[in-house]
Amino acid sequence: MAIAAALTLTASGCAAPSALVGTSDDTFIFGTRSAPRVLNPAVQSGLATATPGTQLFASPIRLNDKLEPEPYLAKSWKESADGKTMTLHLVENAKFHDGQPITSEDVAFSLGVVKKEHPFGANLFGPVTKVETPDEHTVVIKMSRRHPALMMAMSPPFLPIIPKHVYGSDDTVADHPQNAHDVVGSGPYRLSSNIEGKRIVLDKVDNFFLPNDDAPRQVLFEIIGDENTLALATEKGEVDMMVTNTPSVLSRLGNVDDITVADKGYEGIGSISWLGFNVKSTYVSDKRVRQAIAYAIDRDYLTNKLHRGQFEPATSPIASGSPYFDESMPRYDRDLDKAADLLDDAGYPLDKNDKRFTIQLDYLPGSAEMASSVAETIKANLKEVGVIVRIRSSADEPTWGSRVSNYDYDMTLDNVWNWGDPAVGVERTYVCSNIKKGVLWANMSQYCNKDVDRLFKKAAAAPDEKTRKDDYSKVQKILTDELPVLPLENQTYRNIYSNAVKNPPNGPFGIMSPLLDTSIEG
Amino acid sequence: MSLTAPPKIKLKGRRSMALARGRSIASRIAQAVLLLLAVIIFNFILIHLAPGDPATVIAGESGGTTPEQLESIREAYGLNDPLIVQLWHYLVQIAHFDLGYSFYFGQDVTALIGERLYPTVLLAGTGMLAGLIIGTLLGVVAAIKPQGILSYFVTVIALVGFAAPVFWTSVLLLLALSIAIPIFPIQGMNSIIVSPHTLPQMWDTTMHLVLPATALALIYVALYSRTARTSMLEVLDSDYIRTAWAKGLGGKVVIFKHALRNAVLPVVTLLGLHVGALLSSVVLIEVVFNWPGLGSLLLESILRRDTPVILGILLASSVLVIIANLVTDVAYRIIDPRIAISGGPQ
Repeated sequence: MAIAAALTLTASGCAAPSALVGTSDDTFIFGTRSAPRVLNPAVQSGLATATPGTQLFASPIRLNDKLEPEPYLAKSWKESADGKTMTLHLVENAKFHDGQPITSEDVAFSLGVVKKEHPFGANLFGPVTKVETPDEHTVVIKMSRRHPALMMAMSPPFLPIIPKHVYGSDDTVADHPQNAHDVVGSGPYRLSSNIEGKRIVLDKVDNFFLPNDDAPRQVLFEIIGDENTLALATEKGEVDMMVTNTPSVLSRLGNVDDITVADKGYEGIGSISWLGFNVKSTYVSDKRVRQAIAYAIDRDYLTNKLHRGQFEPATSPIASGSPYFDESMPRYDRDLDKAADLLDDAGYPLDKNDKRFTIQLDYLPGSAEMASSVAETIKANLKEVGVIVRIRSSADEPTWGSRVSNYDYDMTLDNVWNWGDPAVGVERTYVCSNIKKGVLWANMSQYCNKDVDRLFKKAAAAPDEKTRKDDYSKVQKILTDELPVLPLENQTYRNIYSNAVKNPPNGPFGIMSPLLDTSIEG
Repeated sequence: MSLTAPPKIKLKGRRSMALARGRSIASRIAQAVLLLLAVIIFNFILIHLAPGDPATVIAGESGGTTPEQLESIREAYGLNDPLIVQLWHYLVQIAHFDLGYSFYFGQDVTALIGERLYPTVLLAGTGMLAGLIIGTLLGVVAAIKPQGILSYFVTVIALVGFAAPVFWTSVLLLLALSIAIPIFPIQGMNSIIVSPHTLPQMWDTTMHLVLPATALALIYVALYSRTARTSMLEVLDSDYIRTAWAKGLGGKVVIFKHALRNAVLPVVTLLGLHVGALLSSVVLIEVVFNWPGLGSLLLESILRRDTPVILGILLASSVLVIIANLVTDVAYRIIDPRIAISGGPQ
């Protein structure tokens, strides 16, 4: 310790990169594993960016626990009878962090940027043809068709209102330096500092247009790359809250005093793990083989043993937390006889060595618990019906991504998010028009079914909720029969937090929601 | 024979020794520069031959991204150029002391590395120095009484130190001294809320440093104690030490002045060699303790395929290793001047 003290004192003139934020005890510390590339959710999707991004930027609306829209920057809205026009009336006292008022021009500008630059831009605002700004506080959105996902698309993770007077032209937003530093936001917190890869510090905006008196003065996003360290830091109280879907962490911290594991939240993400098939590949191009594999996999073991009962089995490509989830889909409970019959029918009988064929399985790199152990389980399961699995690991995500997006695979484990509305996060992985070589999480199965395309298109523009649900039920029925992907588990994310945190953000988008009601006690 | 003859011979000897030493060091520096160039080219080619497309990471979670958008990202970052062109651009860049921009953070790599250098140097320096001093002293003391309890203790420490993976000892230290007995903080280099540039901050950094530095030091205690003990035992058995005892010199003089000087040579050799291996241990320790240094940045960058950052850190560590080897050579020559003539340790 003496050596450490001496060296520390000797080098005290140097500023440590993770230092230092002040002495306030009114600080909410959120521990996270992912470092954001930028802080502007208009140009980057994902939890890492949206977590600080939704505190820095306000949106036209926000969603309640039932995924229903509530006023945010828009105090009211009105949809035309044909559903092709949405008129927003903005609050009049909202300001950007540089003091400039937030106007309809900024909303129109932001919507255009998201449509153009966001990876889901086409899904979020594809039908939007024009945005009119008749006055400073009125926005009129014109669409080519009815767009039921519009309200979801205008919520905090997707439509941050960014200042037109700062960004200038929409051509420069994607690479604008103020996406990461000197951010001029519109949300309840302003950027104090961003130390890349280590820590983001936000300060509460005084006189925010919505009441947030009890919200902490400061929010810190502490980036802790190793999940075990993050869990230990949460356990010891060094961070107030973390979010994870790792079963061992959820299970262990669920038994720690003074810590709560939320029993709801993140329904808007709709995280599903699945076994994706390359339907152009030998063997799994046959629907019967895919169904046989589904019958052979022991999902009860996966869910209840390997993942400690923390998840529920997935039975549909739509996550169970979605209002469009249809629970009547076939479950493919384990049945080795059915699996063997299907493989026989497909023309792959057992040979003299009790083998049918050999197939390759890739997996999205991650923790062993969530990746390689699942692959090993599937390998063991399929061996029981004579299907030999050769597991191929990838050193990192780009390696895996390059392989699967270029169709160099037979089967792959994957984790894909629904992102709140099937038109945003589900459709992309099934429709023929989204078979895009080299693009991750497009239709990497290369599955193409005109009925599926038609139903997705119809549902995305459905005149009422009932029709929409019916259309999505029909889609789910086709997809669970044809199985371009085999849904394995609804891998729900959960907030884990100190009991000192009151009103934690346990809504459908969790920490990707403005912290207006959350507070720290004690 | 003139009375002045011996000094002349001595001066000539010194001059020729200095000349030999100068030539030897110049040759080492030239070798080091060539080696560095080879390392730069090798690193670049190796990383670019790996499968995977950084553009997919830059684009973020997609599904709606168009191939055209990906193409424009590749174009913007020069990923479409032939490998030889990319290598040439990289070498020109390096010649201008420019390490490029991070794909992921869009920030200057030199600045990123600069920010992370001090924590790594602090951690690695503390851990290695502590390991060197404690390990060498333990080895020396153990060699004085080879059948004593301390000697057996050193043997056990060395065995455990070799066998235990650093990741495991790090987590064990955290569980024992941060959770079970909550003395030290879990993660980071500083508490999240502490006033900057104050004595409390320095104390805070020290407390954060203890566990990761201990995890690192344990490796070197194991290595150096065993090496120092063996080396010391050999030296203590030599004729000149017996002569020193026979002359009636004191124990401290014999052990620390006569024996240790020679016994420490293998330890210095190891020290130079270990600088190269240091980064691999530091990466794991920094990740476990969330220490904001180059190691954790390297791992994050590898996972994101942030090539400019990976290459920058590899270059910085290569320079460090090459300098460490040079310093080891020079240190050797200072400790044992005969080496300058014979050409240095092989």
